[in-house]
Amino acid sequence: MMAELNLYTKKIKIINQRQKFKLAAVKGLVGLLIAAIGSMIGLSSYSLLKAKQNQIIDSKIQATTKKIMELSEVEGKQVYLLSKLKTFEDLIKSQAKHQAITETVFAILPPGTNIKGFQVAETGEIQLAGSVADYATFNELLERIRKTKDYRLPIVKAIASRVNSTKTEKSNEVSFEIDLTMAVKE
Amino acid sequence: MKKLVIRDKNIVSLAVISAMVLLVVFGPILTGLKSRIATQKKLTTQLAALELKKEILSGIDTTQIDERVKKMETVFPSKKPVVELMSSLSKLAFLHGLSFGGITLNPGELGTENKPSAIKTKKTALNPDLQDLRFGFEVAGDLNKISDFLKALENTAPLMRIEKVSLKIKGDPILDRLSTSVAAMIDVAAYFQSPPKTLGSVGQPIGLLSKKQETVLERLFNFQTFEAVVPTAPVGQADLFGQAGQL
Repeated sequence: MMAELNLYTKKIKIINQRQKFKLAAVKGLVGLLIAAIGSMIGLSSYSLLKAKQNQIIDSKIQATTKKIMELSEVEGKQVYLLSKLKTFEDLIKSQAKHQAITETVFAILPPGTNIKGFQVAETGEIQLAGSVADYATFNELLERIRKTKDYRLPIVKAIASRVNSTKTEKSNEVSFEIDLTMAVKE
Repeated sequence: MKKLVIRDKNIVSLAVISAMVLLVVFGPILTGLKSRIATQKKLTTQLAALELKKEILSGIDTTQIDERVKKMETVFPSKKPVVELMSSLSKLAFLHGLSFGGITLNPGELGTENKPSAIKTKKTALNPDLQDLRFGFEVAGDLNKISDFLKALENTAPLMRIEKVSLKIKGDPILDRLSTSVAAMIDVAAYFQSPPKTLGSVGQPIGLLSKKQETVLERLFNFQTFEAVVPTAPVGQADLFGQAGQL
């Protein structure tokens, strides 16, 4: 009796394994392809949805823009007010300072004083130039400047003063230039 | 074995082709989607800003804003307020029982409202649209009246600021203010600012008035205004040489 011997057992086993692996690989690849196609369809749909939504938003923008254009008269007035208010506010503040300085100078002047003029500066520094009838009046003026806190000065006070020049003319008139610095409150 | 090798090649080819197809198809899809999402984000922001603007504009009381603009234009005009200024000052002086005169006007360039005037203040340097009109005048009367006049000047339209003062006092302003006679030469600057030329783009946001600005606006209504008299009828003889009848 002759026994049948399979000489390729090992080789056939390897081939079988390879075939199984290849089959699995093909199946996997096909599955992946199907998944990819599905994703592609999904992404395309999502992209189209976004495009549609953008169209809707765009049409809303157009409608809102149209309404804003209809309200352009009101917008113009609002822009006008806003553009002027900032400057107006600054001017009001500076105007109040000027007013306070003027009132202060008004209050410190003794009788018989002629003021040639003083330039109102927002820093509170002014040069008082003028003349008085005599030295007594001039001393009175200096005294009043020293006592500046005593006057009705709502916002300012004199913090420093100095005499620049004095001269006696024929009529005993005293000309003066005084630099005054006032503390201007904000 | 030969058949198996061919099969192997098919699988590799299929894999390579699939990868290429995926790259070719997915690339543009993903790029397009990314771009659409970015566009949507941008459009949504734009729409939100526009709707806010529309809401603000719709909420503005038209009657109130009309009044405010009118008052602002009277107090802080857009053009040189020469006529209004003269009228206000003379009437204010009259109201305080003061004599008024000696006007020196520095109107600057009459034709070009937008150019800054020759004399610039610190504020005009800060705001290029702000311009001033400087002039001097003389008032005479009691010290108290002049003092009141100067106080009233602060709250008289158009907006003015005292720049320079010269005083000639006869009497004691502290002891006897009533009998003190004063001649005051006052230099003032009146301010005007041209309005914005354009509104800007539709998308440009618009602000609401803050509480502080509302308070400033209230101050606007404290300004005293005097009606400026502008001649409406023709002044002078229309046909000076009597030519009309002959022609």
